[in-house]
Amino acid sequence: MGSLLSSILSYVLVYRYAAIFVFNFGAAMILPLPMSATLLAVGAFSSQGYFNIWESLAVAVSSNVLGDLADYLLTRRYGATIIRKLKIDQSRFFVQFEEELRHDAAGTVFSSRFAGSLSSVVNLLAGFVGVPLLSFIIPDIIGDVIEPTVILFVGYILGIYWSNASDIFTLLAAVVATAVVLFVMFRIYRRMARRNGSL
Amino acid sequence: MILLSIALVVLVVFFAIAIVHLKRLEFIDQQRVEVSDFLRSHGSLTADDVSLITSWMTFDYINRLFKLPEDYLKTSLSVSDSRYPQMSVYAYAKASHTSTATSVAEVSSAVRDYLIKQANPVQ
Repeated sequence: MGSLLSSILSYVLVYRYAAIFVFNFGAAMILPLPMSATLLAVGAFSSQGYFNIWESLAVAVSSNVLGDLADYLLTRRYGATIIRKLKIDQSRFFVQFEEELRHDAAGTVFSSRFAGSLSSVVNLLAGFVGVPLLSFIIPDIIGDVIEPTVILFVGYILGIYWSNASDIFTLLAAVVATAVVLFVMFRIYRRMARRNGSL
Repeated sequence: MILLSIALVVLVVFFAIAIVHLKRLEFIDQQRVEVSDFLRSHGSLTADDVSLITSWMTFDYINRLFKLPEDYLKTSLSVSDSRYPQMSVYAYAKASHTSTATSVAEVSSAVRDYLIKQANPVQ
């Protein structure tokens, strides 16, 4: 178990739901924190009576949604300035990804909830391209309910042996994230090919 | 197309590394994933389970996990830190100026002694 995860778990045990909220909020915004393993552990702690799984789920969902919303509103307000200063808009991938988001905001937002750090990128882009709030928040909430629910309940079932499975669970989460990234990239490629007339 | 190919290569390499890592952990051969152990995951813990104690656990959590009286570890380990029981074994090790491994061993030993006494009360 990594030292970062160990530190987070100690804080979670001491500061409980407040710690879950803070770490999950930070991860939802952009911080590379091992929240899948953390929520797996929280699910296990719930099975031991140390947490209430429904309260844990409510905290995880609300912190996820608020973190995503913070990213979205940040770029909605300041996005154009930042992206122009960093010259990100000159990247071809950025332009294509932006077009994908404009074309299917709900699908891209929803699927990116399961794609690790890509979800933060999508949040920032959604605000930048001006995706309507409802088109962003509804698929965001749906995805943010499904992901922690699965993780918490898997942890609950695993109980004290959650740490045995955390490596394989992290691997599975990475596989799902990779699959989502590939899916989005495939859609971008297909749109580019259609425009060039090769499909 | 090139991007997709690169992504596929990355995925294959990632899987290969993960499989080697899992084999090294002998994950597939681990006894703990047997059904009986799985069923035990929600039952009461015994003296054999003290190996679960790690440095990130707090005394409060260990008390709940092993159903210990709240002040048992405080008394048996002479913990004077006011943060008890809301302090981790790692924090206890730092406060005691001992290594984490030593503190985990001390806590595990104290828990084991209690559980053995509970299981075999002196008549």
